[in-house]
Amino acid sequence: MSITTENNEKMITLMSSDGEEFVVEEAVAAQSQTIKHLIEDGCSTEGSIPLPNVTGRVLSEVIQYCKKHSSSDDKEEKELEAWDAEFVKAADDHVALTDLMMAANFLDIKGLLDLVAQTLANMITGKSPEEVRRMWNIKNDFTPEEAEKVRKENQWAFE
Amino acid sequence: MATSRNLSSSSGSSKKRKRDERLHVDEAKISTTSTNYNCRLPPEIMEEILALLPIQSIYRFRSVSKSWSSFLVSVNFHKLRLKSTQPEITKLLYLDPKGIVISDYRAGVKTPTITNLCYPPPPADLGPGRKCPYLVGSCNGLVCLEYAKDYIVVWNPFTASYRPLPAISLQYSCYLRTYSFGYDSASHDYKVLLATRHTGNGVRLYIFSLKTGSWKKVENPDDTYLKCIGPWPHGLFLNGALYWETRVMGLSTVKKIFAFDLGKEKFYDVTKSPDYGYHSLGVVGEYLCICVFSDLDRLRKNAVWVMKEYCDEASWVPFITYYSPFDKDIAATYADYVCDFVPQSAKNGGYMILKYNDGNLHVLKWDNNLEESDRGEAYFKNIQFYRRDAIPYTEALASPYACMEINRGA
Repeated sequence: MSITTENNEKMITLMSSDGEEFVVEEAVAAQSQTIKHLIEDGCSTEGSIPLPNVTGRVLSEVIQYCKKHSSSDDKEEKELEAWDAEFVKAADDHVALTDLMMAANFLDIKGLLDLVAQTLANMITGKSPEEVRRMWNIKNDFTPEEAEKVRKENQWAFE
Repeated sequence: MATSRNLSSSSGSSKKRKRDERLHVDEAKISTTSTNYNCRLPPEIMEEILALLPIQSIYRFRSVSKSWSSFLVSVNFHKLRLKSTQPEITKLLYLDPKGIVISDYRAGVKTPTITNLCYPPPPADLGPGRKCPYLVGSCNGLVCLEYAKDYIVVWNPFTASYRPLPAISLQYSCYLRTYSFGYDSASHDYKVLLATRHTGNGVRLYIFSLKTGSWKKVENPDDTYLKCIGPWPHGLFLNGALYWETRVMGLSTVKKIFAFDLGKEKFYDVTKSPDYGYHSLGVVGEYLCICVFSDLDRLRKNAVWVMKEYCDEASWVPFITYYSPFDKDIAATYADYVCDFVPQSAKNGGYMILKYNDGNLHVLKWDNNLEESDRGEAYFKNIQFYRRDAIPYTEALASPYACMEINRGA
């Protein structure tokens, strides 16, 4: 469904996996390459664009990001960087960040993807393999002998 | 093992996938991945994150699981990492009387972190010759060293892995050998170039490929270029080619910048040298630059010009100006120098290294908005500079033997 606002900005409606609807300016939504292509293909003319992989909570965060980044120009780069830092800080933990990153990947928003990837990388840089496994439910499939061997080979990295 | 296959096969392909497929794939994934209490990461996303980690974390995370372990030593991961992190961790490698030193200026040019390195041992039959090698060049974390008696070693200072190159048997005796080092991304191969000059003024060109592990003679290289390669500088590496500038042989000779394409293994003209005065070649980010030293300028102001459009002599634009660290009279004596830019990050500039032949290394901080920098300070006194013995260096996992390092120190 296309609505036009007073200043003639075309609006589109996005629908999250849990049925929440978001009405945003097309320019904001088009920061997502995925949505941009859907609009170009004419998917936005009837009803809302369904985004089956993104929950309402995550989508509202993504829209926040897109709004900020579509309204700023290059001159405000420093301010934008500060805003980005606050934005990922607000996401709080690795679970929220992982959700955000998966949404950014699905929606193909490069800036957001890079931002969250760097945040998660910084988060795990100093962690132990056990902690990383716990964070993302990764199964330790080494036998005790293999685990000992690989640890020994890379011992210096644990010091 | 199914995970392992997924992890490596999906590398690099996620972006290329058509969007319809992508929607479908991700829809299928949602049922297993989106519960908050069971947080899992699709491989292509994991890869993006891992590529941003510092080296120590990468080695530590080889213990996480089998699929991580195999992914973290794969060529794909190595390539991905080169793309994502290179500008962030560039340091400076230089020689001092005791050996080789790495300095990291991220904390500021006045407070560099200094690390002394154990360089690979010189050949056993070196005798009383100089033990410490000269620095030929560096790219992607590999450093090429030249010891006395033409013993060449390719070395990864970070992983401590090194590879002595086999001696090359030359048909004719030569009085000059100039080595250069570079990387060809198309073949993912590192190459050592050897330009020789023989009695009777004959010139020859040889290439050692880390992939094939052998030297070969380049047939019919263009001698007019080859004759311009003197004892120094070594070829300046940038984006798959090595750069030099012709020496002025007589007043009528027009100076030009030429290059050797490491993929095609051919020389070519880049541009006529800009006529801004005495200068040397350098690299700023992805661009070739010249550092103009003009002792006619009473302000002792020097300028760096950047070639914005490749091979276009009309595209030289001024980049920054800086003051010479010397007084005017002395400056003329120390005119012979090489300049390198070490990008700290694409956005925030980095530092500029000036190597004057007074034996000191001068480091200036610069950023993209900087029009005029402070007078440089000499941070390293009395380093015996010879040729290009201070080079930018990036920590990376490249192995002198294969594309990836398996064990540290192996």
